[in-house]
Amino acid sequence: MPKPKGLPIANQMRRYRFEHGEMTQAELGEKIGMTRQTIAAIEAGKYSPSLEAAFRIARVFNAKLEDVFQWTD
Amino acid sequence: MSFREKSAWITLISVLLTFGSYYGALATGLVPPMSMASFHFGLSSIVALIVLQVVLHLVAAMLNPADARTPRDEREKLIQARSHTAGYYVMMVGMVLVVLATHIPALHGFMTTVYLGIGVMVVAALSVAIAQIVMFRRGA
Repeated sequence: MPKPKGLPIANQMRRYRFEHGEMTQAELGEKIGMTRQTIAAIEAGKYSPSLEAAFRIARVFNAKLEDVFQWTD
Repeated sequence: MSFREKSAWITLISVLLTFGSYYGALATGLVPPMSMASFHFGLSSIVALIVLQVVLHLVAAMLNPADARTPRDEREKLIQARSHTAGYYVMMVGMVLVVLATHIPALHGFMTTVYLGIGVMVVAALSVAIAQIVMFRRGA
């Protein structure tokens, strides 16, 4: 689980991508209207997506928002 | 590298090449300041900047058309907004310095003020491009 430096949000995007036919970052980005670089930045914990983008990502994986993104103290 | 990051590099390089050579020529005395030659060189620099920007952006778009056609996503919009904020502050501080510079006898004069003013705009444009590149490299 990537624990971002400074950002208190962790995510399971890599695992979910793997579980969804090894979906690439570019494919995920295409589905939600984001660039591959932005997906990579979110996955690496360098960028916190908007609530709307987070919901879109969770929706692609048919998962709940909190299963994909977690608040970490 | 995304199309927008390439675009920031293109802006940085083209502004450095065109206005770097312009101000370099003025500073070294290759082109006499406050002459018609400097005026023509300035105009040529602006034309060269536009041509360079258009040609390099076309090349970048042809290398990856899909990427170039994709609208800016939220991270790219955030980077754009933050970089322009940085450029705005650079511009404001620079303009205040230009106003102060007009009170220095050695820098007094209409054309000197014009050179300094354009220089501030160039530095602000470079600041925007550099801020974008840094944020693209860091993630956001």
